[in-house]
Amino acid sequence: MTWPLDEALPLEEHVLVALEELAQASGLSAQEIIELVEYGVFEPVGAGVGSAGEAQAWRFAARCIVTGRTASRLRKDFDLPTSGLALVLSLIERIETLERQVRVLEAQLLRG
Amino acid sequence: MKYKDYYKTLGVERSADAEAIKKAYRRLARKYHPDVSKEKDAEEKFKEVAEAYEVLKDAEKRKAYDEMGFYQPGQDFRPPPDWERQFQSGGFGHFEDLGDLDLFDLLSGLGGGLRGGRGGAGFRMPGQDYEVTAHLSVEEVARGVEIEVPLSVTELSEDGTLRRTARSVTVRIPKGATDGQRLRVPGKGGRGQGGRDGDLYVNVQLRPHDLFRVSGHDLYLELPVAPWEAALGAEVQIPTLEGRISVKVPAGSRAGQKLRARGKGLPRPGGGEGDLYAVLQIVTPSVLSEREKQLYRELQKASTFDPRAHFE
Repeated sequence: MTWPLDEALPLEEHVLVALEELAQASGLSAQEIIELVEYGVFEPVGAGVGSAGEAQAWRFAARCIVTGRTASRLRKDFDLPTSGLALVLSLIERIETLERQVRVLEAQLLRG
Repeated sequence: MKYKDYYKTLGVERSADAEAIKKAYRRLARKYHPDVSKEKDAEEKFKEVAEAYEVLKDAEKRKAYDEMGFYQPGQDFRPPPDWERQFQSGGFGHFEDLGDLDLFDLLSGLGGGLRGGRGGAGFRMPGQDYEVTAHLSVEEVARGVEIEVPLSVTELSEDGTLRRTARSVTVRIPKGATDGQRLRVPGKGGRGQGGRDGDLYVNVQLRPHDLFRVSGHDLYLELPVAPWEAALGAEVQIPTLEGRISVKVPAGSRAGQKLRARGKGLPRPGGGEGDLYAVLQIVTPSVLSEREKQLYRELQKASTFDPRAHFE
């Protein structure tokens, strides 16, 4: 798919990026991404999933860039170890899911 | 140049040691970090806190900052002449005019990665990434829209000094964006020096609409009907994003019942559209004429309907 230069690309589930692009866009190192995969924060698709030796063949949903940038900011601003970082990210994801549900329910409520 | 009081921002004494500065930063970062905070203006506040910490945690930058002298926040000032001699020669370039420079940009050039670099051969710096929030209307995400994003970018100018320049980027938001969606515009952030250009990230937020509420790609509309319309059925006109359409309210409708107008919601990025749901609301006139009252009384007498039968 080709996009005009100034077109904003939705960071969707079905668009995939390689480890290198995820690293560049998020500011995380390849090693940090591999660690976060081990903690289950990122779930790569494609060949060699689960074996860090084949990390170069991993593909990530473009949505991971958003999580990756959050991870990179949190690590830098709070000096978090990877285990703490993984925990914070999973809590943030839960909050976002709940907030989305609240918005959906609010839309269906009558204003009265 | 405008003075910023970094000690005040962190809420510490000028004599505070590194440990106290770190503690103050951690406390404020926890409170205002935009990824975890719901405080108003969290992002702005965190930027100030992070900037203050960036300078005060670094012994060399803190010394350079302290020796500029103390002023009121926001006050226009120039560092004393010996400051320029002491720090600029070791910095990344000489500034002819400190007047329109940002204090942080000046201090960032000291001691850090830019030292010795003058934009010459071998100097590499990737462009900065930017994140902005676009507040869009429901109509705008339905059609797709071009937005102007004003950016204040810090770039290395030709003479090797950092300059903050105002730039505006036009971005096309494709139709079908949803609330909370993130979009990426590659290469539209700060310009890189020998490195890649930065990216621009757009966070889509929907502005509330007067009539429609948005749930994913579906729209919800409150549809007020009169009691007799609900009882007898009616054909009514409802607004959609593309003008009015007519829908049938079935006889014997209840409040809260949803009428679906298929495909009248927001477009989905992959094609197709969400639906528009009209949620029935039965409303009664607040003022009744004598004639209306009389008819209601007759209805009351004639009807055997018991809306509270299930209470028995």
